[in-house]
Amino acid sequence: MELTPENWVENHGDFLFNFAYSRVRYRQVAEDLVQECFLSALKSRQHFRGESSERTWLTAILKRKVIDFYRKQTTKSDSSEDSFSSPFIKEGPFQGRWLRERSPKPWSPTADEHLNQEEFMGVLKVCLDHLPENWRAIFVLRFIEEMESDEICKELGCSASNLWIIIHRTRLKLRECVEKGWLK
Amino acid sequence: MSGMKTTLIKGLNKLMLTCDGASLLMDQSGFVKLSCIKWTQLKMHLMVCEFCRDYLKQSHIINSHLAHMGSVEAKNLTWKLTEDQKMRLAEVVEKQLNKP
Repeated sequence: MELTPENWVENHGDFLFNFAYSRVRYRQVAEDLVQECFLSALKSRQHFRGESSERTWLTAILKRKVIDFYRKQTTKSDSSEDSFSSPFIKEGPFQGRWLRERSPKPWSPTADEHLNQEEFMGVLKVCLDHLPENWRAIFVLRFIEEMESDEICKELGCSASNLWIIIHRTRLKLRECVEKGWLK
Repeated sequence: MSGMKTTLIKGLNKLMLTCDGASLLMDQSGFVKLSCIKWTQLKMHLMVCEFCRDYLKQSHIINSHLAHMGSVEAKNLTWKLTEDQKMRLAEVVEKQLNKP
């Protein structure tokens, strides 16, 4: 199989852009990543052995670019730590229990009846978009890319315990956001 | 009396998981194997805490939708390049191809 770089944009542009956008959620960043992917692919095209399809090869390069982008995001200092407000009682004999006003409320059974429910999916997407960038990066790698936690730690340079705390906080935030949007 | 009650609650808290600890274990349980002690503590907590039972159910719902979201977005090509973006990218590729 031979590479046809002159047709990459036409043949794979939308696919690669969709791949990048669904992970980074910014049009400009997704476009930049696709561009970087094409440039890297052109530089290393002599290494293409034709064992996989052109699209699979390009996607693997793009996936690497997305992870690099995430790494940069997670090393940036941001205010996600400060902006997290725990839904648990902070002190006293009931420390660690749910704050009543922020405790999970039973969801309508329809939430899990139909996996395709557009409304629920829409709320979930909006909530994902509102997560701090470094939290979303870890969440996407874990739950959409289905990467193992030690692999994520290796890529992003974080400890396993820190990773679980971020995943836990992200989940708490996501659950609460979905609940507000879903039950509204 | 209230002092004794507080001491009793503090003692129980040491034995039992808090909701914070239980929800962390729930988030981990799908991906790492919990030790026998932690698993038992979690089960005991879930028996008595309705909020955490709801949290567990809702986590499953969110998980299944997240997994589904990834595959739907990939299959449907939800987001596409604009014509301008395509032109820009094509120019970059062409420029690189024509480099001596």
